[in-house]
Amino acid sequence: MPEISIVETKNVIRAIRQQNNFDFSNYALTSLRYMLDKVISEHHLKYPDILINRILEDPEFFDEFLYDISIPATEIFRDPEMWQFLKDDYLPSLYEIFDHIVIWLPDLNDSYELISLIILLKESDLLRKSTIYASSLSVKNIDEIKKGVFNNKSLELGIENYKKLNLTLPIEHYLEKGIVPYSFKESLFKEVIFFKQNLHLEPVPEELNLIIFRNKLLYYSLDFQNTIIQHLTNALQPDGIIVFGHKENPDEFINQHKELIPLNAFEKIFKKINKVQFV
Amino acid sequence: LKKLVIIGGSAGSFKTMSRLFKSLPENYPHTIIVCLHRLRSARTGFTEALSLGTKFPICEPLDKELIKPATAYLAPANYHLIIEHGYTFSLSTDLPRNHSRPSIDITMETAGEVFKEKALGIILSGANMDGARGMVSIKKTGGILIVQNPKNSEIKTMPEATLNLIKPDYILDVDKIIKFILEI
Repeated sequence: MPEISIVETKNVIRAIRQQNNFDFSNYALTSLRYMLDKVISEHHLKYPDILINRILEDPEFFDEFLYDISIPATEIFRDPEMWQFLKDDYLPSLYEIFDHIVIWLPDLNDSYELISLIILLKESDLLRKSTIYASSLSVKNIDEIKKGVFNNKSLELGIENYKKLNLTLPIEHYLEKGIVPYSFKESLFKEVIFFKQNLHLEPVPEELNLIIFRNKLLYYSLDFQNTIIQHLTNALQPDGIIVFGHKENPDEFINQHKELIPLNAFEKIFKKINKVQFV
Repeated sequence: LKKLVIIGGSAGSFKTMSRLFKSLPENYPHTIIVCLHRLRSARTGFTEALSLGTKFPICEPLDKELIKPATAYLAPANYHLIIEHGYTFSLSTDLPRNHSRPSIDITMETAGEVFKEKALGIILSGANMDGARGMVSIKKTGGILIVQNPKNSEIKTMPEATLNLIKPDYILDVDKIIKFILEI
């Protein structure tokens, strides 16, 4: 079981709320305890009370904390079937409706989802018709994402996924040559607009047509998941598309609010209803 | 909720799971959670394969799904399966533990904390050490432990790793493990 107890976790949550106005009580408790264990271990803090003292007394530590609790997205092109659907079906249909589309990847913890999207858009020659926003809780995270660095194992898994997509260029085309650990070319990120967000995923970019938010709801309580889904749905333009992780469960919200319809129920790809159609 | 049977395994344990499910009566009252190491890309087919020849409901849970009695849940590919207080599942894409995602340790240790003495932890055949620490957690919180007899395990690494860390309540062959599960 996680090392940190429930009582200690609630003390940490209280300290963070008091000092930084971030409310982690919206997180799934046991998942959060594993995240806190990781921070305590990586910073050799020994006890949760020492973590609380660092949070209360060292304002610069908090960004580091937000970086360290972040959960990675596992690999480039995770669930390649989802990316294939996006490339073949849903992206073309969006660009049929809009000349230019605005995309947001909220709450990024690494570059994997972002780089997967950029490669897909480049392959389809749609990058020039897109504006991409990427946001993260921590500034350190954003700096790391821009470097595009990833380890050997991720590359191995990424190549395996990449091959399933039958893209024209080899993945090496997008990598810096001869550098270990491997990294994607920084030029790939030059058109991306990065910004820092809060736990409520604010601020929100305007005129959004596509939101990729896979495997992020997992870390929230069920109530807060619904709050966030509503927030993202509000941010989306009619006919816009939102993608969740395939084991996430937005169904309760979707059944109640009828604002999103499934395009692909297995991959959890939804389209925002254009209410004008029903007038 | 009634009891929770939580089973961890890897190479060589699929056949055992298939036999178990074929033996289960439709009205078996307890919850079963199965965490088997599997290909990360195989998102479909596992539930279907284990459901052949049984009417007992088997599914992969969605995130925050409520844990029900008389149901078997399989840890989905490429996610950790966490049991939350309040008897719900949480999924996670956190780093692999023991080179494994899903990690048996994570599922077992969180299940033990929630189900306490109602938990029955079982380690089957497998090729790494995942699950051994999870079994220790289940014992600490009052659960019962069964380890498959390494002498009759297809791959004995996983049962032996558990036996190196803790003395289980029972060391049994597959037939007796299935009988035990049916009779609790």
